[in-house]
Amino acid sequence: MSTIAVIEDSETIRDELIVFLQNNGFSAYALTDFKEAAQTVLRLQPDCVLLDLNLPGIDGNMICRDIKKQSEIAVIVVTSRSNDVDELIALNLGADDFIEKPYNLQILLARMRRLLDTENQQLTYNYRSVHFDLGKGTISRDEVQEELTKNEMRILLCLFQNKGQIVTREQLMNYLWNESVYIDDNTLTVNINRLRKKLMGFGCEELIETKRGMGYLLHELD
Amino acid sequence: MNWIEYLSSKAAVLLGCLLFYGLFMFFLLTLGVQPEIWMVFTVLFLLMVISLYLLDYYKRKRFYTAFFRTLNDLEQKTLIDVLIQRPGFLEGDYLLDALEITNQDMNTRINSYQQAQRDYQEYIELWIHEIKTPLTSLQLLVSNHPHAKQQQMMKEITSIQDYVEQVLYYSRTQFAEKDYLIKAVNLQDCVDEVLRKYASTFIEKQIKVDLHHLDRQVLTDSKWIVFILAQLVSNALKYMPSQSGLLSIYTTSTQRTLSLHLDDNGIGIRASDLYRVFEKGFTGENGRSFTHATGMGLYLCKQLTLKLNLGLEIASEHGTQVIVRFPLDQTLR
Repeated sequence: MSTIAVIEDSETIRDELIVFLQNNGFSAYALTDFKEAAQTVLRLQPDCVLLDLNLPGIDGNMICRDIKKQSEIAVIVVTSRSNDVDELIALNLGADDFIEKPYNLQILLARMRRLLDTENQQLTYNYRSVHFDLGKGTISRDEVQEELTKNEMRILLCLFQNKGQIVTREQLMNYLWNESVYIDDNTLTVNINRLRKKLMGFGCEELIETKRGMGYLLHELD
Repeated sequence: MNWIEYLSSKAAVLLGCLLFYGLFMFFLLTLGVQPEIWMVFTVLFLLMVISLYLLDYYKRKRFYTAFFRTLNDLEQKTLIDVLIQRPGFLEGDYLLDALEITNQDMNTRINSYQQAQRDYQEYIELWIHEIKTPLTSLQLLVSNHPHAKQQQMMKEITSIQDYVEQVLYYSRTQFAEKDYLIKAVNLQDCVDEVLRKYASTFIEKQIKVDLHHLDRQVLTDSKWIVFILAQLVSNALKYMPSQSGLLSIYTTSTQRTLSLHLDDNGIGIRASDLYRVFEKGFTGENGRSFTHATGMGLYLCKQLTLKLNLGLEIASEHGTQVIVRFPLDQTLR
């Protein structure tokens, strides 16, 4: 699991960010002493740092620079100013990415996941004797392999990331739209049916359960 | 000032001179003075009067011509008293003295209004910066703790964010001369950002989206384009029917222009309202009867496109068609 260090001045935002990150499969903690922030980060070695630029009395850009000078730790810089100039400065000082407040939380997640080692993100799983590789987009069992379309991959990934919970059609569509797949209700049905057909080919069509009136639920995995 | 005006203004004095001349001549005649003296006096008198008045005329004419010509050419007319040479005759000097006083008063006021505007704009930018903190806190709090009214709360928060952004852009179009950063921008990226923002509305109302030919680069300010597109999409969403709504976003190009089209199949805009949609505060038929509209959205879009040197057109036939035109000598292929 990746660890994220949150450097943020506002207590509420700090605490809620940690809750949000933990709810989404990350381990997170906050720094409260900003003067020694860079040193603390270098000592604790998180996988990623969420750095607010507007810290009282301290230039966040300098913290970023100091961290980057001595490590490869990913730094995402956050700001309330809606300015392209700030972005250029931050990126020039070594920030890996730049995000504005208020957060688009889905984007924040997506960018963090993209930045961090994809090895950390689990993309493969097994159900019965069927192997799913969402990185490559394949289903396979023994020697037989079938390709998944991009949409089918995404649908499975969404269900997988929410395993144990019912995912509504609306949630699925929101997830896809966030990936710039502007699917509509009918097309979603078509995609799910096609996916189920493929699953049937591997004898595991019960993997995606339909909960009448509510949504879809991924069956217990291995 | 021409010579007719001048003479008519001196009419009283001239008449008086004439009278005096007449009386004096009569007096000389009755005294039996010789005609030669009489003629000499007349000639001298005429010479003196004419030359004096001619000199006076030209001195004044030179000043007034220069004065009004300079006044006409000046952009900031309250600077006239500083730029014109003192004429040396009484009325001219008085004129400039008076102008000096009034202009100084005017300039001081103008400067203080400009400064007040700058201060206000700075305050707005600061306020917007500050408000983002509680907004972010609110968003995180609502998002992290699921409960019955969560979706509605998120909607209201988004609504606040939209109004805050509108304030920012209003402030920038009114008061900031150059607050944009031109760089290469991919239209698909901008459209993606906007659609992501309104995804839940599209999904909820089951409105479809049809995109093509958007992988194009233009030279412009990406944030402003995203803001403009967001306004346009937001408008389209308000007036499109649920379930059968369709928004088409695509580009067409000619040799000189790349046009970004947004076509919706909503209720459209009345022909009688069409020419007024870009006016500040105009809400039209739709705004009044359908939703709560401030009338600022399209006005801001117009202002922003003007600043960015882009075209913005609206037509309405079975829905609404909006076109944003990017001049091609400013675009990259």
